[in-house]
Amino acid sequence: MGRVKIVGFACNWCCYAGADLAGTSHLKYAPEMRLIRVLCSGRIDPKFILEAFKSGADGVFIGACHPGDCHYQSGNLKTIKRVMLLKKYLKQLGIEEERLCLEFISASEGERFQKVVNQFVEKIKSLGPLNWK
Amino acid sequence: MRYLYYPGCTLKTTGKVFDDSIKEVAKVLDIELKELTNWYCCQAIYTPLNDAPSLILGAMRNLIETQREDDKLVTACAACYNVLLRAQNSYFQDQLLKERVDAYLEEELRERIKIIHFFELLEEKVELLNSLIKKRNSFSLACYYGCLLTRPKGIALFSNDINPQRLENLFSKLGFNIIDFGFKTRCCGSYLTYTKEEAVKDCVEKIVLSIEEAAGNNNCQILTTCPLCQFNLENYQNKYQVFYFTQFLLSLIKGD
Amino acid sequence: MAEIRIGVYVCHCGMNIAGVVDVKRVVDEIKKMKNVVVARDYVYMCSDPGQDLIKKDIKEYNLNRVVVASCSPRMHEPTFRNTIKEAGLNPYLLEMANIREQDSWVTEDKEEATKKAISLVRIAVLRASLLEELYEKEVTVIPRALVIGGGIAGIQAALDIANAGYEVYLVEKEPSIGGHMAQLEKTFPTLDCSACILTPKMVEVTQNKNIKLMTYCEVEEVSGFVGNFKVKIRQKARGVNPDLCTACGSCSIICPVYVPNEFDCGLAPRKAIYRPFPQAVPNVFTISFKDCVQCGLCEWNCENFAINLNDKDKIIEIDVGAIVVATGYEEFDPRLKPEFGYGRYKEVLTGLEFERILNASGPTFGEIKINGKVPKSIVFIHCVGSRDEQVGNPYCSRVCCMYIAKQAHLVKERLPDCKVTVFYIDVRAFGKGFEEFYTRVKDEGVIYRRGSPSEIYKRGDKLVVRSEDTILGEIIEEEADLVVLGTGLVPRKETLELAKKLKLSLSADNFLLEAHPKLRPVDSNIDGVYLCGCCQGPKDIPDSVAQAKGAASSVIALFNKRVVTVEPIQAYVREDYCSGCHICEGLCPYSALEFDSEKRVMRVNEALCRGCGVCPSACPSGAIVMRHYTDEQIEIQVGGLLWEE
Repeated sequence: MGRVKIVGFACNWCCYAGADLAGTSHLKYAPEMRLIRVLCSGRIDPKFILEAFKSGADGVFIGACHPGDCHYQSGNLKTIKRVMLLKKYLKQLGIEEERLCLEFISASEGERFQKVVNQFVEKIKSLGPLNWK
Repeated sequence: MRYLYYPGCTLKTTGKVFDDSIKEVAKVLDIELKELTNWYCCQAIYTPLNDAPSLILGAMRNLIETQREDDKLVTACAACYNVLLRAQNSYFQDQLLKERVDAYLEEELRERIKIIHFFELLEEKVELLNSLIKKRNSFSLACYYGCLLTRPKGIALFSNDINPQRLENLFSKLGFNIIDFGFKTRCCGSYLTYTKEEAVKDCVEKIVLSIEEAAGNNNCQILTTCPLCQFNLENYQNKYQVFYFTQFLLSLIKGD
Repeated sequence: MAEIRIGVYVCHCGMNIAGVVDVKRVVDEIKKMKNVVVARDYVYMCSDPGQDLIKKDIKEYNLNRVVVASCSPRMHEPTFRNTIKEAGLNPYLLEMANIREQDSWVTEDKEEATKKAISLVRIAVLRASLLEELYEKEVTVIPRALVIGGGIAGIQAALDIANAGYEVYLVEKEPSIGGHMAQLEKTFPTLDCSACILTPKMVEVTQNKNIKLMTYCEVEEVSGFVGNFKVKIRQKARGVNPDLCTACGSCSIICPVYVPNEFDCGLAPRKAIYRPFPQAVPNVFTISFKDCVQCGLCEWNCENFAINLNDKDKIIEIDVGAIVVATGYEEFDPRLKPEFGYGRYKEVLTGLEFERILNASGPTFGEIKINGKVPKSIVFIHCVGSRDEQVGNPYCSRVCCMYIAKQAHLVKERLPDCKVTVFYIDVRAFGKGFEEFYTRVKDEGVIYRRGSPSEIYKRGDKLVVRSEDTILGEIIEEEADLVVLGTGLVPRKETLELAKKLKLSLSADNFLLEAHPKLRPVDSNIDGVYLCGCCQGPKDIPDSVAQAKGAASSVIALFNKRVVTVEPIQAYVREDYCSGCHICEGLCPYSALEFDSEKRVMRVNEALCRGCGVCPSACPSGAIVMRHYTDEQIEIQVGGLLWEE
């Protein structure tokens, strides 16, 4: 299976809090997942994701609030559209679209965070390293 | 329309009336039911076994037989329907189980088979049925669903509502008065009819009590969807007449 | 630019981190990084000696950036920001690495955990090297509060805030305040008459000059932030002028329309023009226009010309500094458990319905009668709709064991010969006086049988409750004339809608989520919005009152400070890069981006910008910069995570 490199983004109000809840509940998940905190998933510029793949990431994970629950009203809606378009672009570049994952996780969904992270890391492991560099 | 049809063991023996009425109703409605060539017992009664692969082998063999010709399978026996659905779900959801079961099968099941209960085909033909019915009797109908078609939730045919109404909806569209009673999804006693008759008597008594309470003074007939329910309801009470829903439809179409 | 000098502090957090992560190795690896002047590990960084360590190092090593690797920043970012502020550094020069909640507590393998910790601290150091000084702004707090919900919790919160000298708007959607407590007969375990202890508080509300009571009103829209909320309230058309109505009731007598009375849970009728209960506050009548046939008889009969059949809803806008949500609960709908026959059999009642039957001003004037007859046998069933995965409510509703004991006691008091059986799974009598009350109830002859009934059916004119008695190990059938279901508490649908308007988080069970389950039970995830009562989770009256007082004290503390600091995490536009393309303008949910027609560039209105970051990530020329979350600060973290040895 080997090592895979994952870059994760999490919005402070929902996903990052959900990840913290998974922590206080001592739920175990794949250590490959490392999160970069942003205030809102809307802060994530598509160029960060492309930069990540370019620099050696095998998978990029974005954790956002459920649609309708964004702390800043509609930031996550912008993220949904951006990810949809970006996936098409990634396909053109020959990057499997499953390597970019957008998930909605609320502050009370610690168990779900664990499940989603484990599933994503499994998926990336089965796809293998990207070897973009 | 042409469908592959899986009768199951019971419909070929004690439930022959059910099987015959299904075939005749299908013919009248222009539905072609071609019996599956090499079908096996679905093994519903082996559920007390602890060996997981054995539980679903019989069902899986039928689905693989189906796969050779079509992607849909029609059945009417409530037990077979329930077992086929659950076996297929377990097969596709549990990777380890799939591997063990595949070891016994000639080929693997590649895609899910759409398992259709005969009732669903009737739901699409309400207008045609209405035009074919020659005579309606004055009885009200109490539709008994039993347990196998109403569980597990979200998977079985009538399991999406706490209070299923699809049978009632069909028959009220056909012009009948419906008795909606509380125990229509309560177990009839099932296979205990072979080993503990008092339990079945108790179950059937409660069901009848529930119908009595809801029907009041109305004359009532009970419609069933399962050969075991039919057997238990027929043999453990004599207050109400009990018919398979297809048997009932056929009598309306024939006019007797 | 001045030399960057970073101090890194890796916390053991007792054994919480050190038991899994090799903290010394982390320190050794990080020491090798550029700009790291000092790197230490310590048992408890958040403690006084831990904080002093940082302050000492800042002075001694002339540090100008600090990284703390410990628990979640959501826990202690304010703590450490304060620490470095006290040592003379700008508080925004702090970065934290979450190596507890997101590493030591969630990683199985110690080697992996250590590697992850090193990675997380590395990116924290990288980000720290790019952090800049930022200055908080102070905004005046409007010293007026809004309390949403006029039940016991809302009433108590409003009274406490008003008594501290601040104005309060108390908004209630029903025609009267009082909530569910007004519907109760007696309260456990003291057997106080519920209305007797509630009505004095309701009257206090009307007499307190600081409370503006707004009944028959609902919150329509909320915007703004802590200290400065703008709220639109819909004042529903009452049809009756509350200043002129004397509550004589002559309108109601003549009204021809009968509809079920919500206050009596539908067991008794009311007219279309009605007063929900005699002690209603405000004590005026209301027309429910959806039932009104506009016959005009009430208008004709009213001596004070108080009725206006053409009344329309009005929208009122108010400005407040803090909001308290106290919207309460609703009863579980037992139709979701069809095996109990609720709705099918008239003799099956919910807890609240039976409470109305017991109440002297209820549908039977306090006489326990069903179908006109006095019941000889009553069965109570615990946990209906609670502790039940099947209906999606795995939680315990906390009050049912006690309210059933109370109702069983009241039955025995009024009908000593009535057989009372209670089917239970557990009896949770945890509060002050609860266990003693439960013992008393058993001594009074109430029979407690352990079992969860599977179904209720009718045999003749009696109900039969079928259950396993787990202590006897038998299946039993208990006959009853009346069955009372111990229905649980569920979140109100209206609260879910309100949560969307306020952007409040929900718990897994759909009650409102508190900021921290142990230490911040009355704070919500939004600054300036507080929670109290059952909207945050099922609880009894003393707990609701306690929470209301807690929420009120938080509001009072906020108002006493007079100002609130706004985080300077906001965007700004670099005018040289901006081409005035307007792409960002439509994206901002707060309309904070304005076009400067003279300079032909966009500008950020700092009073409105909340720092979400949608605009900088959309700007095609990179002209917009988000302070504290700049492109470079994020990109360096991405690179840092992928750094290979």
